[in-house]
Amino acid sequence: MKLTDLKKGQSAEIISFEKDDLKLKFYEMGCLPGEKITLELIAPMGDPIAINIGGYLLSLRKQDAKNIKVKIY
Amino acid sequence: MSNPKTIQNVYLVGNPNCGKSTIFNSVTGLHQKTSNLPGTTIEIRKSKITNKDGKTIRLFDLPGIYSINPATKDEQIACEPLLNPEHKEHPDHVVVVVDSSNLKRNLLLFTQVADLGFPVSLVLNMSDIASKKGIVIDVERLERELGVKIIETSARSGLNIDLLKDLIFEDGFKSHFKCFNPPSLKEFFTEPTIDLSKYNDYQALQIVYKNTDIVGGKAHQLIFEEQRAMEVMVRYKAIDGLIAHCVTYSNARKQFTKKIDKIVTHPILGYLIFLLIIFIIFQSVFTLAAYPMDLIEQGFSLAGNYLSQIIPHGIMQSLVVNGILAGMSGVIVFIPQIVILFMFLAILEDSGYMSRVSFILDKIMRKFGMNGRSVLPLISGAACAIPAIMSARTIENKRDRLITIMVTPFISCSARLPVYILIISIIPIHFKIFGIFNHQGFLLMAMYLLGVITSLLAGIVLSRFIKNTDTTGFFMELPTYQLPRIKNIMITCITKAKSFVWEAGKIIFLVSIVLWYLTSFGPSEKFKEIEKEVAYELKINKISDEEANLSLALQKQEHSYAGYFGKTIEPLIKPLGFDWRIGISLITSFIAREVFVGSMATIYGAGQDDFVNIRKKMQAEINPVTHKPTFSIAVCLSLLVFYALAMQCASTIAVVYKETKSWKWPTLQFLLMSITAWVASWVVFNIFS
Repeated sequence: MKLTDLKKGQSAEIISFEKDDLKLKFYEMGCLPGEKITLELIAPMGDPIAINIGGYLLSLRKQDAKNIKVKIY
Repeated sequence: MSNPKTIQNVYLVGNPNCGKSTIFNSVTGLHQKTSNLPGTTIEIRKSKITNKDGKTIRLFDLPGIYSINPATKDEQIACEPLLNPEHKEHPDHVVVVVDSSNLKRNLLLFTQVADLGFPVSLVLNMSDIASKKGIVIDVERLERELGVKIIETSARSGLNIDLLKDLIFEDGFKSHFKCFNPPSLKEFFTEPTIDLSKYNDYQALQIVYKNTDIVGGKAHQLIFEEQRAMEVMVRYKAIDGLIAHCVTYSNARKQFTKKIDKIVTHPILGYLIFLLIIFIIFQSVFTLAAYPMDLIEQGFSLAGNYLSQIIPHGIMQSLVVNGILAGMSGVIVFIPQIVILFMFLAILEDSGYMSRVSFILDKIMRKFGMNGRSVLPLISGAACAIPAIMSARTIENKRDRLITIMVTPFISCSARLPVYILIISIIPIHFKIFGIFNHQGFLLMAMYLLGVITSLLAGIVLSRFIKNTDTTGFFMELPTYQLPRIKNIMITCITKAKSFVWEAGKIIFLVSIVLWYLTSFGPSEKFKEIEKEVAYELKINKISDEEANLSLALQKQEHSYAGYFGKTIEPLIKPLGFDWRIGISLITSFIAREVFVGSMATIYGAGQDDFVNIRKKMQAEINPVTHKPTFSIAVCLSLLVFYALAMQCASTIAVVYKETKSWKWPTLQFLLMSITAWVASWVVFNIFS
């Protein structure tokens, strides 16, 4: 499933990335396969979202976030 | 003291939000220079500092970066001192500042910088937040593993800042921590292509990455991306091992940030809090700035009076008083608004709230070709476009920043208010809505709405034409909330004011002198005769001194270069219902829009501050052709719309030039706004006449 399919407060493990051109950026920001990711906040209009990754909060637009494939533990 | 060749270049390098700038500020104080990296608006700050032993170094504050892999052209320029071994200010010692509460991600950059072969030191900043999060770092162990000097600091509370000041004057050590083995490319690249033999393997790899043209096109770039991603993964694996050895996590205290975030991103409360904060800022910029602005204006007027007495009457006096002093006043008068606005913006930024504002408003702003970060510049535009456009720097995406800069001046600023008030007070219509709101309140509100709507529409239009070249997505860290530091905020305000005075101020000053020339000199012999004629009238026809002065001012205005311009542009503005006299006022408005009121006063022979008198005379004015009042409903509305939408502010043009580093954008903006204003005024004039 995609990161955007998670519910608020739900955690999952990153599996892979769909689009290659954002992969490097995701890696640099600490979003690596195998990492635990938690959907922490959803903006009032449903977009963007904020995730907790490695102990910090990162805001992403849905169009970027949907490239992250995750698996619920 | 020290010979310049031996002065070491020390760089502070780190991720955004790691507290690097606060460190730089606390080390250097106000003794710093801000300059733009060539061709960009990315700021690099430097300072030459000397310690108690008399050793001098140059300290650089590089913009925050997450890695040395540049995703945009601007980032590439920001990384230049690190990536280009031939850089003229090559780092002799790189001090990597990391956020201790987020060690893993922050160490990525450290390992890259160390692999480039620089002598490095490590600063574990924000240690107070880390300990609140239950993170304990074994500094000694980490020092042993990395082989570099490490100190723990908290720039906010001032913890170990003294140690840090000592550290930047010491030599760094080359780290022996190896987590990535770059391929050895040296033998493949020798002269005449590029000679890599003098660089280490990792430096050589970066040079090859950068010079895609020598190794081939797009396909190679994709391979490079993949290679870089692999590199990042390998580095994180090693960092994971390091952290497992050196960092322990215990139970964190209840997290304050989570609780606040629940409130400030709440669908209703979130927006209410935002509106309340905006209201407070706005009110403060308006009311607090008014006092120093009055003082500045009074001070300059006193100085003007004084100089008028000691300099003999003539061109010299006019140049000093109406040219130079007025020009200086026109620059300095903006400083209170800039300082107050930036004080609030720095508080919002420092505390961490600013990124939450972007978070809750990003989706709306995206529809208009901007992003969440554009909201504050746009709202600040209602006070003054100058600080508003300067604050657009926090928008990282280049296209979104440009669009924000381009559309901000459509928002009605405080200088338009006196113009609106004058025109609305003479407009010959009267109506009431719901029996409470009269036409005046309604029109004033309509003007502000017109500005907001036009700026958003312009955003949509511009987003079609300006391509988004940053394809890196919209990633934004939401930092942990912290109390802002007063010293840091003061330094931000003062450096902003300084950069405004030096960069935009000189253009504003020059324009003021030019406008002074245009209004004080005329092309014809007639201009020289005016004073004689008035003196003659004074003597023969026994007109009063006051009448003589008014007549002098009026005739000078009419026969000056500005007056001729006003007449020359008459055919252009006639379709909008304006005559040459309004034309003169439009031209003199370039000094500042509120000058319109004074210009009208001169034209209609009223005292400068006699608002009631100007109104009466304007209302009584009869058009010689139509025999109807000159300021009809159609003309007034057309004029209002023109003032709301036209680019009539030389200072804004100067600031847009400063912020975009090119004349292309201010020119386009001038054309865009002038054409929009012309068309809208024409439509309004024709509907109502």
